[in-house]
Amino acid sequence: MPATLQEVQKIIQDEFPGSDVAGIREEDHRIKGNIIWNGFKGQDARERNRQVTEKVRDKLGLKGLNVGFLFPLAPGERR
Amino acid sequence: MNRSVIENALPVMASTSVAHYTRIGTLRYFIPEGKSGWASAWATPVQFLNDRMELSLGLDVLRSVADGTSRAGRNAQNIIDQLQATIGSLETDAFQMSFSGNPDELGQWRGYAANGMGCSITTDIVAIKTVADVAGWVIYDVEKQKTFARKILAPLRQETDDDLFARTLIAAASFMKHKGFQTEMEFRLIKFPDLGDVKFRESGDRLVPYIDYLRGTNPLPVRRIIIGPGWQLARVGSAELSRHHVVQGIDRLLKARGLHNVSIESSTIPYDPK
Repeated sequence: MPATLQEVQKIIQDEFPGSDVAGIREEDHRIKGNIIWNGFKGQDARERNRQVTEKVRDKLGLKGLNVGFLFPLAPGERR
Repeated sequence: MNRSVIENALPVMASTSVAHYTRIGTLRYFIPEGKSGWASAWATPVQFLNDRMELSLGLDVLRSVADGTSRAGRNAQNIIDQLQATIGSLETDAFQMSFSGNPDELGQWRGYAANGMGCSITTDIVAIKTVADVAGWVIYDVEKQKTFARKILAPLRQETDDDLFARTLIAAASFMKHKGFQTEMEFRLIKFPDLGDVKFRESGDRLVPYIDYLRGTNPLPVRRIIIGPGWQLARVGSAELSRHHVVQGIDRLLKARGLHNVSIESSTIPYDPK
């Protein structure tokens, strides 16, 4: 079964403690949106995305095939 | 996707026709019964091709010129990093077809036309552009790729739709290849189809998505068919050449489909694959 929105939000909050996942949503059977986390402050996009891959996508494995773009942002940053 | 953003930034060349290299047997699918022109052409997403590393090269160039301090630049970097990590999705699959500005080129005979035993089929650029979402000449020069990438990223500042943003990046990346492929003089078509138009075929025990570029469109004109150098027709006298079975087979197919003005030629390259 593909991951549910709640499962994705939980794994993000477990891996990025204190993160704001309110911007993560399900649309057209895909889960996507912003991960806002203080720990991303001072990190470049490559490092942020490396962590998203390792801590979210890789952990979800095949259940995460329905996870679309997740944008790692520090508080105050806008897309 | 606004095709002009990409096409206006691609190189301009004088050619009005381009060739596709293939196996001779494929001609019967390209020009099927009841059609008097090139009426079928299957295309696979870049991500499923053997040379999918090509896409990485273009995405790397786009990423290298994206300004990480701007909002749009950061968006581009995020999307590219995640495309590289996930290989995209059906929504962002770019179905591509390749043509060449050179209809008689050894590398392509060897690589794409049954090691020289295939053929190249030539059509008009104006006609093939109408069946693609984006079409144009591939860029091989590193500095020109960077200039192209900057022109692509600038208007994306206004883009708020992530899939559209990703599609534009993937399409643009598809027009950048390593300079080692320069002799191919590639003219590439890119299409992001409606999901309902995607079909699946079996290949090497896998499922591979494909679309028929020409389904529901007017058949493309066929101007010329060049028979590959593997047949060694350059050594054959002209009388014997016209009686050769490979020529006769192609000629009969064309006549059966009502294509009476297509030039059949043989490669001029002295290449013996045996």
